[in-house]
Amino acid sequence: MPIVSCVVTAEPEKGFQVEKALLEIPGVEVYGGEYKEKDNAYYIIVVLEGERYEELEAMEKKIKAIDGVLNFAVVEAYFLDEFEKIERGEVHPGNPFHGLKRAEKDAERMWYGDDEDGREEN
Amino acid sequence: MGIGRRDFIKKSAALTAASLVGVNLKIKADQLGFEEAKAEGNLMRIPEEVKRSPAYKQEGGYTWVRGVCRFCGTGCKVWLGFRNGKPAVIRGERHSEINFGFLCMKGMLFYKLFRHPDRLTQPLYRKSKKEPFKPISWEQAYEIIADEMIKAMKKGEWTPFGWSGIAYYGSGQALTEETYLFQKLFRCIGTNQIEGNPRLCMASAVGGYLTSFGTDEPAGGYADFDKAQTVFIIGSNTAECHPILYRRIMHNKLSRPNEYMVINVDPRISPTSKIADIHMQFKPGTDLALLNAMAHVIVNEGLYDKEFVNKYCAFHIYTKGRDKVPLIGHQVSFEEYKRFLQKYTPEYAAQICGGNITPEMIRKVARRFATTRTVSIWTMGLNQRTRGVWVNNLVTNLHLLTGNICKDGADALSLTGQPNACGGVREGGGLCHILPGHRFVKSAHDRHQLERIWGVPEGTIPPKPGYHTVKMFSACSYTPEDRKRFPGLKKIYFMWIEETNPLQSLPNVRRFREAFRNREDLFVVVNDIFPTRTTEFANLILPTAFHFEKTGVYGCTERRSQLTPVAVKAPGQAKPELQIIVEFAQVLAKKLRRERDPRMRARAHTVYQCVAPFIEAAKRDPWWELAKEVWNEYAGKVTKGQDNDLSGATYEVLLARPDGVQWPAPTVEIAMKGGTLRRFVVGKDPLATKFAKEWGLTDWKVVDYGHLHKDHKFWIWLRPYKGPAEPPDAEYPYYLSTGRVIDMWHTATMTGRIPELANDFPYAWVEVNPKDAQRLGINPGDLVLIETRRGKNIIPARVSTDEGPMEGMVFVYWYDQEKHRMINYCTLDAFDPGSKQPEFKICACRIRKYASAKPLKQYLVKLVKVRGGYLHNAELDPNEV
Repeated sequence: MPIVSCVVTAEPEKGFQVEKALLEIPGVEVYGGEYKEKDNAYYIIVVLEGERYEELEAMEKKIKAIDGVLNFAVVEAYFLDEFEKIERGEVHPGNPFHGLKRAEKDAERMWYGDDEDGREEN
Repeated sequence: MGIGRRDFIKKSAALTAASLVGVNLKIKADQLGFEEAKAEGNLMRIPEEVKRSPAYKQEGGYTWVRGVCRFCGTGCKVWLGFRNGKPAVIRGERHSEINFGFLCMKGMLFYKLFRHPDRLTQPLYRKSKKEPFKPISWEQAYEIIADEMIKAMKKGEWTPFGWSGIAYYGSGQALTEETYLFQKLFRCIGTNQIEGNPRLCMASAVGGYLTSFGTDEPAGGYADFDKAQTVFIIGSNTAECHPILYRRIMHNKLSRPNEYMVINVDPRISPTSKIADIHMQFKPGTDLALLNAMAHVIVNEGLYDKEFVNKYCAFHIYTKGRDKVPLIGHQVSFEEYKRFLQKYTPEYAAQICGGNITPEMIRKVARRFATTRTVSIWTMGLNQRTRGVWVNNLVTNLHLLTGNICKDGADALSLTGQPNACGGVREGGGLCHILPGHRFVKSAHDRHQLERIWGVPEGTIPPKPGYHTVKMFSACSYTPEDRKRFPGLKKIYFMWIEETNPLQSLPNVRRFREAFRNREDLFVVVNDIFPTRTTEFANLILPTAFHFEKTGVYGCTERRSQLTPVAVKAPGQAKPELQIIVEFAQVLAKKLRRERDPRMRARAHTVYQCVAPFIEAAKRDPWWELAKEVWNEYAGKVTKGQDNDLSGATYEVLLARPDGVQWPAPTVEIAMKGGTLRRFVVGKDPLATKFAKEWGLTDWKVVDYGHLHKDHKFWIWLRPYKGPAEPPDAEYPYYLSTGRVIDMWHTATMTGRIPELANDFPYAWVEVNPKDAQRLGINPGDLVLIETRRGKNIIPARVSTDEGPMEGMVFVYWYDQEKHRMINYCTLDAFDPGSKQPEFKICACRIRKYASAKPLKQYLVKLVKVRGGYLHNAELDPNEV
């Protein structure tokens, strides 16, 4: 499950309102927000957590759609679980190679002529 | 991963984000532990030298290696973190002067491609394009390429640009070392048939800088955004195409709302318009009139910087028939320039421009431009035009007239779309007319200097440029129309395509796709990490290592070079391109030695000599040491003494610096300080300082040392308004323009394979102005037929009252790989006479509702297993072209 920390920049006068709206989005954790006079911006620190990155994308969309949000920038993204799923071929089940190792084996077998009997996979 | 560990990671990530913007969080990252890698195998490949450098650290239970983001030309610095040998986290580099720790969503997802199952993992070959691909060994691949290349050399001719039958087509995504060595190899083989996709994206900017400055690339950089008072954005959707730079501009706008003004100049309302104080909307292609009108106001109202103009500027015009060299033209007086501008009154320009442009708006913007510190930025809106060089000149003219150059907060900055179009192709010699180190093919001095550095015989590099991109691919299609368009065109029989996808990205692409499919006598080699619309027509596909799987330098928009060291093992038999070149060249040299033709035999030694300095490094360590050796030759010898001098930017320096080095950086000492932020300024730019001293320009504060400008001045060009090559007419009444969307990058060969990005934008759409949509009965989501004189697309409509094109114009994204939605079937391949960059941005089209909305699916090019090998999914469809 990927975890991504982000900075949401909001219009100063709408910062608090944006913070509240962020709390309504499932998977978004608000860690704090502050108006920075120097930057004339209201910064909100959020962490997104989802089963897959698809969910994070949906969250990003919802965040950007909140009235008063000016910018959304990623700072750190943890993805080890997701990476291992890709490595195991679990993320792309529709792919004909079914994961890298399988693809390599298929290709190797083909090169050595094992597929000359015309056998087709899938 | 347990809940405790997840909480720890979340807190830690939140604290990192908070620290960037100075927000105090009332939490602490306790010591709960870390996520553990479960799958087998250590994927890390980190060189010992990197481990001893500041680009490596152990922190928070992770092993970190520092490199650059893979996508756009911004050059964001990133840390890639490993846990138990597996890539586990990406973090922006907070000490980088480019991204200050921030990343965009697209940038943080490139790790997904390291072990993507679609990755190409071994060489695939087929003799005929009608056969399936079969895996072969690298040794066999080299033998085949060498044989086919020699065959093609024989079929072609020996010409002033060398062997006409072979060609190389590279990429602004290849590393600098790769572009450099590829072009070196092809020049040593004996051809200048060397091109790359930057011809499609920034050639006009090169032409603009060469004519205005006498040398390529900008004077300032991103730091100018922070000191500017006005940002003039023209022909750039910065918010979507360069989101981290947009963030910086927005940050300045927020912190200085009354002082900082953003002016967005674009026929289309885009997300960039969100922070604009003024949005100038004009008919596509009329910006030349607009910019001249701004100059008119500045000159007529006496707002120009008289001292700067008198001392540091000259005025030039090119008159066909009178002037021999378009880059030089001839000099005219300021009075002549004033007379030239008189026609471009704000009233006249407003009439030409249409949209929301009024004479008063032009006056207001011109006054603001002239009286504040202004940075201009632009991208394809200016470059992809038949008058791309001219319109680049006209923006730079405004800066020169107002002295808004060579000082903090003032610059004319062309943003690049690819990570290494500047560093690799512009500086590394990756186009038919240029040589590495900002040298020119046509210059005997430059050629011979390079031949001496390379240790190859004088005369190795042919004296004439090869074919530019459209001409090169026309030499592949070679139809009667092509031969009529380019008299004397020689047929190409062999093309090596490196890390790019021209058979989706070229304009008017159908004719090229048909040629590549049908011509069995055209042998095509493609290096890539995924199957693409171009590998479909390959004979040989070579699997290459991806970013962070090999070592090399990217040079971004602002003359900044940054190193990404190898950190991840490449999958299967994928190799770094440098190793491929070195190994292949040795095979080719042996074969050339056996040829009867003395010209070919003579090349055997040259080809061997080309790679001889790298053979041992390629054997010992192709992942790190080889790249370092190539960089040492390129930066240390080839750029030394040139204006893009990177001889001080050694790998050691690049590892140490958190944000790379901006050239000129002639010494390690200068490079360690980051190089040169501001070019041409005496006292700040080492080359300008040296130049002023040598030429006795004692009281000059700035010196244009561009080699084309013998007067050491910047040139203001007289460029008249000229419309696009194919304006709308009664038959095709709409403007068609194309561009990019935030999450999809170029032809989507990478981003299309990241489901999170692809699911948001599974297919392209056409943006239609609400008034046009109403008139044509088009509802949002309806399928729309777009037709041009070259082809058609059927794409769903998007109709928005907030964003989108002006009335009479439609806009289409070009990443979609589905044949009915590949907009380059429709675009125009007319090109700028100077830069040879095609006019993707403007052509005439007609549109109508084709069908009501229906669900559409994403289409991705894939290899599928068939009897006897692999074929692309498209090759199984008899209707595909």
